[in-house]
Amino acid sequence: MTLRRFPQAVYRHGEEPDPRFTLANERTFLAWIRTSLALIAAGVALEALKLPIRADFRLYSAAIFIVLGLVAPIHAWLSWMRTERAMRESRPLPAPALSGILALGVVVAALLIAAGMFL
Amino acid sequence: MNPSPSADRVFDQGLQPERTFLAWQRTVLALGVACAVAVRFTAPHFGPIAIVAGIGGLGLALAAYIGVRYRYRRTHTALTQSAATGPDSGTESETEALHPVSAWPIAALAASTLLLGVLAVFFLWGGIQL
Repeated sequence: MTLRRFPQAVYRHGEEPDPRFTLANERTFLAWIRTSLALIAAGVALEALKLPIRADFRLYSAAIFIVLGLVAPIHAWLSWMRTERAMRESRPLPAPALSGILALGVVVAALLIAAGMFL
Repeated sequence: MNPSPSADRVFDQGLQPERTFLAWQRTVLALGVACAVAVRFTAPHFGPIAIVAGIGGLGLALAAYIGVRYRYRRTHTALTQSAATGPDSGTESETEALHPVSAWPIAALAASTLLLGVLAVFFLWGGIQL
């Protein structure tokens, strides 16, 4: 089979890893996609339901959720590629780069909501 | 309880291909519903741009699902056949099995999620009420 596999940035390097690891990498990607869906839903729900929170705080909080929801799929794809390539070259796997930013963003958004309820 | 070899024998006791396919199903389902809802609420305010983004997101998610479904069938057949040649045929036949698979469904799903995110920005920006 002389099919050119997409993306070449991954598949022209190294050799095929254990299929189970490739599948696990794929499920991690899918988990990031679902995380993104939850973040987007949170951001939209905050504004759509017009919850009784100070309006500007609510909007900032919603914006943080949606920005994180936009970054998540980009990160999911890049990190899937990095991990797949590392596995093909039998190198150590890259660190989960976005986790810290995601945690920080969610904490800040939650604090904004909490503060907005009392102000 | 001795698992007898049969035509439908699974490749991996951990059911990795099956778990992955189920993860695809629930992800695409959620994403498809989200895109449909998003286009419903943003189209009246933003017109063609929102419709193109929403239908694009829905189409990409659907295409990814069809691609993965097809790939799952092929992988399943290939893996079970290579496993059936003997328990110690080793990594050689296993690695052969996934060979011609492209990763475009993964890229398509990421793009679809991005389009949904863009619609969410529209939603916030337009101050749309449900």
